[in-house]
Amino acid sequence: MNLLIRLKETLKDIYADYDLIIRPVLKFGLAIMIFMIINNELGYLSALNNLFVLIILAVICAILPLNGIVVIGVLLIVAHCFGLGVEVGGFAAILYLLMTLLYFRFAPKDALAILLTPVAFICRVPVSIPLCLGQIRGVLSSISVAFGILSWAFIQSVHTVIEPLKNVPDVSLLDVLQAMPNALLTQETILQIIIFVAVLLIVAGIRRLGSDYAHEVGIVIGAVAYMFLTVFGARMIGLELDFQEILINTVGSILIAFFLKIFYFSADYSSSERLLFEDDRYYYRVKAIPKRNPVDSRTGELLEAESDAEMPYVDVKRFRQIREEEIDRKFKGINLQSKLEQSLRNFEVDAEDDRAPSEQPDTSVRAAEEQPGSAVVFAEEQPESAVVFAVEQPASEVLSAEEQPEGASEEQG
Amino acid sequence: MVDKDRLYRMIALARFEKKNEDKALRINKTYEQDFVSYALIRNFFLTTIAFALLLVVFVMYNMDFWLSNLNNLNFQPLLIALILGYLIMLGIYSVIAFTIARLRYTRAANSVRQYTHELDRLGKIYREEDKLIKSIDEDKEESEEA
Repeated sequence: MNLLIRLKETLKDIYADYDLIIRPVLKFGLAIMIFMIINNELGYLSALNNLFVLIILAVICAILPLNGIVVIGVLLIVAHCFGLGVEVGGFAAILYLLMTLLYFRFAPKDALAILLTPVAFICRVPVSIPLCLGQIRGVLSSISVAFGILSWAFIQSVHTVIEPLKNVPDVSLLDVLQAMPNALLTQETILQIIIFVAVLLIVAGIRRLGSDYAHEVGIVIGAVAYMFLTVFGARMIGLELDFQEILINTVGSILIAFFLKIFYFSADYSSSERLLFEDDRYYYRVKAIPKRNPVDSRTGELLEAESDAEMPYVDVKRFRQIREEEIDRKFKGINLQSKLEQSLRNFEVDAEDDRAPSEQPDTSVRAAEEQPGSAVVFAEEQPESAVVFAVEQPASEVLSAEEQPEGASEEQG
Repeated sequence: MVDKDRLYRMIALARFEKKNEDKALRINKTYEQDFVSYALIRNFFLTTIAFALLLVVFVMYNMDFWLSNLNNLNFQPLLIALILGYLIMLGIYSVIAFTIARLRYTRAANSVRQYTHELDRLGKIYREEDKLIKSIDEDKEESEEA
């Protein structure tokens, strides 16, 4: 285990340094694997059955975001289906368009499931998909899993049902059109959808418990549930099963899920960033490399990973500390006590003057303006209220909290 | 000399800008009502297309039934069922689209509010720096005059 943890740390370091190269290479590898499997399974369009074409497509995917693989992969499937027949291609286009319109437009991050599920089935590790999705995503990914199985069922049906049907000499267009949805929604497919959704819900549910070994327990219980449900379901619909094969497939899926858990889910592969910005005096070229275990230099506490959507610099406690340090720095060497006494003396004189009805200017304000230190001392002496106010309000109000001493001096009086 | 605190703030702001150039910052350029309305209009067209495609698959699935009963079909209840189904689907998807659009806008607005807050703080640091530079210049002039 120590070796694995050390390996993970090394991988994180390497990723942080060379992410610019590693990320496209990983995307290229994933894309070429998916495209080759699609070509092996379908391969009806001879123009696409060329390794160079696949390499070019994979290189394009390496530059594009991750969903570029999904778009190009789906286009590849549709193109191969058009190679078999216009009606098959049309149905494939409708099917994938429907998946996008019904669900993936709301959850585009899950879209890779429609390609990875067929890949997992072909690699004989089908249950790795719900085991992994249950860990990274949530309960809603059960819809992605269901669509992934439909995608696999379609690819399988093109290979096993539609192609033989097209080769029959007197087959009509109507027969092919009707065979496609019928081959898609078989009892076996529905059973697989139910089992996969159940496994994903189990894994996601256990993960949500938040216990120490929730991931590991979720993977094992999910895999056991998969085996149990598969055997039970197959008996119900009268399917013959090779139990040994299911056992081996499940063990393989568990290994993949554990591998991903160790090297992907529990590691923060936040990559280095290159930033370019400027102010009136300088251009700043910054390369920010994430620390292995980020620690707050002031409090010594471990920092959590930053969220993409939020401002990373919003620590109110730290901002308050910085403000206090700024104040200390600003008034270093100034005898605040004597200034405070002076201010109070002025205030008392002013208060006496105020008792007589007159239109004299507010000397306390004037005195405080002349001695800004006094106002800040009041703000510090009040139990956090003034300082918190300064932190929570925009900069303009921070200024006002410091520069308007009336309230503070009144309270003091 | 470069102020370390100011630099950290600038880096944080630059990172936020880079990450949210086409997310929160883009969303925040529009009003909430416009953003949600746009999401609902887009949802209307996409749901209509999805319903039409679902209908095509449904007809294909029961092709035998439609062909054998085409002459005996009563189209009025069929049309009513069709319209009702469409309206239910549109309603469900509109609620989902509305909720997601509101949620996205609120999140974007919150993060942009924090961003502008940070910008204000940065502006304040600049103003303080300018004041300091001015006072140093004035001190120099005074000492030269003296």
